[in-house]
Amino acid sequence: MTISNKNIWYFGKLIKDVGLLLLLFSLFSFSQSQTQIKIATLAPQNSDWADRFNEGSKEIFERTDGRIKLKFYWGGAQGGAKKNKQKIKIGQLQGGTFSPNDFQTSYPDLNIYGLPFLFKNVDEVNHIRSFKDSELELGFKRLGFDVYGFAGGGFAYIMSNEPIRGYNDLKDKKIWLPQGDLISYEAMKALDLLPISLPVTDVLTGLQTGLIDIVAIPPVVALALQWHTKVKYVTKIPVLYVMGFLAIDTRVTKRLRPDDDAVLSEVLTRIYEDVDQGSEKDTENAMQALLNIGLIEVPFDDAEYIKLTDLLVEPNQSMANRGMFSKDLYDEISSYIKDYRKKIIK
Amino acid sequence: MVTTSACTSIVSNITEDLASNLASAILNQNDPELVRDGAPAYLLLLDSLIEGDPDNPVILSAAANLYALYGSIFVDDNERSKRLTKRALAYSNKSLCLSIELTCYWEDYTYQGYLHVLNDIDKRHAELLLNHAVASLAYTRSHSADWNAIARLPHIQALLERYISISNDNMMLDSVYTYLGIMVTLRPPALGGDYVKGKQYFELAIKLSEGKNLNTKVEYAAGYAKPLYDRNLHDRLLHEVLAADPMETGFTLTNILAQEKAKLLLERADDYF
Repeated sequence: MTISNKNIWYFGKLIKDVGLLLLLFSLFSFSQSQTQIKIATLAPQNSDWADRFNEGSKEIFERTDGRIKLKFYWGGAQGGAKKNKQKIKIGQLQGGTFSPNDFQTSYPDLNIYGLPFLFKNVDEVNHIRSFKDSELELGFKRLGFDVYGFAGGGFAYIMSNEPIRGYNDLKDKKIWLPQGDLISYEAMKALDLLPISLPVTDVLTGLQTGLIDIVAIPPVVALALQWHTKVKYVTKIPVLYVMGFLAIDTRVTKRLRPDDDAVLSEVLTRIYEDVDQGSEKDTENAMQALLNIGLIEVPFDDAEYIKLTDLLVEPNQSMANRGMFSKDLYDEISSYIKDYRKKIIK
Repeated sequence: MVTTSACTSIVSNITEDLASNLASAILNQNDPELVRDGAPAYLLLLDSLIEGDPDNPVILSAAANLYALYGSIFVDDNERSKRLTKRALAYSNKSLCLSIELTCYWEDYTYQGYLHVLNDIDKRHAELLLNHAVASLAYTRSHSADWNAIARLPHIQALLERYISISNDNMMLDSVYTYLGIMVTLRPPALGGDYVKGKQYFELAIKLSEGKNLNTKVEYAAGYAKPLYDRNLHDRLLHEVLAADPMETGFTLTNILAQEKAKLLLERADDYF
């Protein structure tokens, strides 16, 4: 009996030990298991973005002892933004790089910085972004995404084959718009202009064949996509502000150990801050390169600029009323910009 | 006077031959480290030949070629690479300017103006054009953070296309098509990269060298198969490179370097795909 009891005790102890071992093992395997975060991006594998992401990914991997591994799919290999968002939804991907247009329906307020002719210069953008970015970032939480800041891409400027000096020069010209950019489309329609929506891949041919006459893009994009070979003039008028961001599914990030999530956040935020800070200089250098290569800079008449912005007040209000972005946010930002301009004049 | 002129001509021919033989000797070398260590002495030698005959386009072009090769392949320090490839481009620009006056003002032309001049260049200057394209590519590679260099990528592509249309020499066509393959696949398809053309260029290049230029297969794998996530093609090309004998006249050095790169790409493939 004693022996039996002993045996039971031993057996019991054995079960306890095994149980403990199993528990320890499961804890061990939890701490050792790897979370792979698959991220789709349009950035090419041979780009500066790819270098930054690869370095960041290595740092995250090392600092989390291999528990987080970022895997990037470069060059739009996983499809466009719409497809990537669907893939994130069903768990095939965990993240992607996007522009505000990609969230037009689910997060319309995000497009506020990209309203045509909202900002006059980068100082105004920086001023508004200094207190509005964090608010906009928070909005992603309800959509189930973590984002790591916004990377500004500078202003889109007008590039054309005929000089554009004012509103009348824009009339009757076929102006390219990225597919899905509903706000710019509405704005152009309101200005009685001719927007032509085409995929990025068709723009070079479009410029060559006359299907489009004008593109409004940041200088870095013009150079990277080689559109500068098909235009003669650049009008340095800040049409709209461009930015991008990286969004990761919170279903993934909330499963991470808090310290690992902190590392992920720290590194990705740093990458976006670095790109954001360098973007102004990058835009300037790219603009200068366009001029060096022979593009002719055309001034836009100040009175014509005021005319354009005045013409857009009503359409912007109308878009806000239709829920394309929040009216309160639009009014708030417009008011901040107005105050800032007054302060600058003083 | 006639004697002096004849002597000058002989010396000039000797130096031109020397420059040309030097390039062949380097390309046939099977020890990249030897080239890495030894080439600087020959770069200095070419500099001294240029000092003695500063307006000789052939020597300038040959020196541009060697500076481009050394600066872009054998120098790891980016600042040094930038310096050396800048010199390559300067020599090449001077060589072209001495041979074709209109090219002296190329920098000031718009892209369309540049194309007009390019279309007037005939087959007599085909080799100079190709060397200029190589020097320009090497310069762009080391100055990839400079938008001014990026802005001129379409110019280099046009140079290579012009070379193909005017050259009678088929010897270099495999390399030219390889360069073109790389250039048209620099942007992913979603951003306007022409991968249909890229595939045609790479395959034509392989055919033209009868598979002897292993670098073409490596660039095909890295520039085409990798961005398209075509692992089968990627691995097949690189395994073919590793299985091949690198010793081929005119290709030995690049083949050995190609095998090194192929090995590295295969090692990293699991991580990428």
